[in-house]
Amino acid sequence: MAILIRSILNLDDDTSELLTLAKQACGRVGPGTGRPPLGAAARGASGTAYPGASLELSEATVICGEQVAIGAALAAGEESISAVAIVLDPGGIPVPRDHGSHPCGRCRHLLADVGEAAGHEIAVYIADVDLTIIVVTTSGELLPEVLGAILRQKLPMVEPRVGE
Amino acid sequence: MMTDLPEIAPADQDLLCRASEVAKNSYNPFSGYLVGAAVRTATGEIFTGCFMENTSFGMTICAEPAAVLAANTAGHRDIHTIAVVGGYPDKPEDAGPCTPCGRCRQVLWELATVNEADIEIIGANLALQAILRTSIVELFPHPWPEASWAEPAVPNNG
Repeated sequence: MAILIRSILNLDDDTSELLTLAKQACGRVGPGTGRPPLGAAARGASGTAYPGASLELSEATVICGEQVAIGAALAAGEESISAVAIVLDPGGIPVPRDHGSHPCGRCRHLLADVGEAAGHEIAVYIADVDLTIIVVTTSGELLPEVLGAILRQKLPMVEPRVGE
Repeated sequence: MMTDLPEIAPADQDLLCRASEVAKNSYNPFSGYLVGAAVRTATGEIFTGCFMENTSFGMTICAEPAAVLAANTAGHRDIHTIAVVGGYPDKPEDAGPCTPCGRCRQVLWELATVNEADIEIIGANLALQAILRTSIVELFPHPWPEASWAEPAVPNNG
């Protein structure tokens, strides 16, 4: 069950660091479309944390901060992700300042898939920009009854072409 | 064809049948997986859609948004119920009920928010033997964006 924590001081150092990294990433968004910038950070199995910022491109090509952070971690060679932090900075946008942003459905599926591939759930921390409202949940809780690896298992293995 | 499912209302059995039939039209050269969806509006109209893969993988279109788009294109956004049927044709009894992926849940949540009403979801395997009855509020906890008509997204225990 998700829990709500009112201060970053109530979290361990690793989680505080992850949330701070996500907050710092908020300002690093791409071309603006006026939407609130979102920062994320993913902790790899090695313990290293990777930031990610939402890429606010044309409508259908927007890439969420969670995807960028998880992608950066996996691209750097991390075998799995243990935790993801998400921070929403409303900036000048008229949305409540004391408000985190729960991951969208696509990001939930990404979290579920990455967690399932590693054989464990991923801890998810969702915070407002002041880091005073922090929701602690998991990849599994965010996407119940998911159809997971069934599709992946059925995908054909592609043999590398050599010497053509 | 549809076996007798006494616990499923006739109208919902019909919806499952429509989803099952349209699943055969799936374009699935990479996975071979079939998915069909059928939505019923509050006024009783039914629209269907099926799975369409893409070489890029990332641009694959699921059956659920295809059905939702068919309804919206015809001017109907008041989705009341969606049936989703999926599986491998050579093993129709395998696997559990097909359920919407995360991206589809976000699409369904948008409609639920527009209508300020939950959407009933009926998922099934191809043999229509494993059936899950649920709803978008259940499948999309802690929703984004939040909605006042649904359950509080975060328990206030901090």
